[in-house]
Amino acid sequence: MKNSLPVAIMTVIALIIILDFFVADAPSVQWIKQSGLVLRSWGIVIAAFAMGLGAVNLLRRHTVAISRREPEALYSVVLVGSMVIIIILGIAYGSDHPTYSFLFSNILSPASATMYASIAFYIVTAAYRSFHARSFESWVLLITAVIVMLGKAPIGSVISGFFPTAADWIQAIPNTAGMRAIMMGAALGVVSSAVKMFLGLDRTYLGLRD
Amino acid sequence: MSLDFGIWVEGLVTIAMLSYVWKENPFYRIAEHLYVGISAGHAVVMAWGNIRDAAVKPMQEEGQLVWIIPILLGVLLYSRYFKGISWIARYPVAVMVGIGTGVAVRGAIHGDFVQQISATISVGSVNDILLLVFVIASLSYFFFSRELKGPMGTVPQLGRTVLMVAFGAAFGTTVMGRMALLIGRIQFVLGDWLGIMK
Repeated sequence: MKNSLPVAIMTVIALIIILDFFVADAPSVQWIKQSGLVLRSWGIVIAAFAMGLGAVNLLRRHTVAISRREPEALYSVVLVGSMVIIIILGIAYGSDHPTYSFLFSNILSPASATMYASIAFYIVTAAYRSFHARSFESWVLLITAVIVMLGKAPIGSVISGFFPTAADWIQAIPNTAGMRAIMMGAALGVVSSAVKMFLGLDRTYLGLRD
Repeated sequence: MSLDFGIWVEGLVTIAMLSYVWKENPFYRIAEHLYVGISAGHAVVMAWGNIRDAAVKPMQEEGQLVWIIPILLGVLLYSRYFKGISWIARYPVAVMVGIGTGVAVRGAIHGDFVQQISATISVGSVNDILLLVFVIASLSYFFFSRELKGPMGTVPQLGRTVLMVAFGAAFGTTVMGRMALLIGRIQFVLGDWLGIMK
């Protein structure tokens, strides 16, 4: 019961939401549409509580590090302090509070942009190490990447008008085709995983290993 | 050079974050923990906003008591911290996974499958024909039930090449996106902050 009832609940809810999308707009099936809408709005609320669960775990991990005076406890103090300050400000005064806006605009946004920007170095060094053009396919990948990069950089159009045109065509046709095939394959994967969950063959989301 | 306190903080955070490229150091670790703390806190504030707007307000202002159910389910998630009753958390998890699976499956069937096929088979130009051929070839590369031999073997081979072009394009786009961000940060440090570059 402790294991099979949650699987049944999950299956019924998922089927209602799937049916809600595919059934006609007839009055006899309005309850499915209504239930699907209500369940999806419930999902937003439960997911918000789950977000809080993640925050509690993070706080627990770092407060333990502080209380044990671990070697890197100073960093935990920074994390817990900044997190608590922004939570108190956000909940008590809203996200329009000047200090909240300062933390968001002057620390979070630049740190996020710089974090993503610094990945550029690692992508380039990883590419340098792994892009050994040993086969036809690796040549194709390498040449495509170079054309797309030159097509998107101002220097590409200065060298030749070919690069922006070729980059646009590559993006529009072969890239779309490849990504479309991957997307279709992934969609079939999503459906087959869902069927496995509905049949109770995959219960790992409940913390159960079969 | 800027005299704005906010610009200085932004500049120091940028330099601290970029310093990791050279070597991991205490300045980077402080900026990293600050980043994680603020982003997690911001996510909590946004989550609280969702609970308030979607559940608490309709209950208080319109008397819709049905919103007690998702709130109760959300609270039950925290039963995992209590040993004897941690199994109760499986119920809200089941509800959440059910909603997520339902939304994912309908999106997968409609958006990622039916609409993609519909867009692929609507042929009106040479490029559309090429797109159709490339999609079929790429899909045939994922066909593992039977090995395609002879002249048919060239179809998955073409698909493999198309996929390599797609990966190359994805790589090039990612690099250029990251470079654009990096250029933005460098422009900020040298221009807005230090005033070296106009």
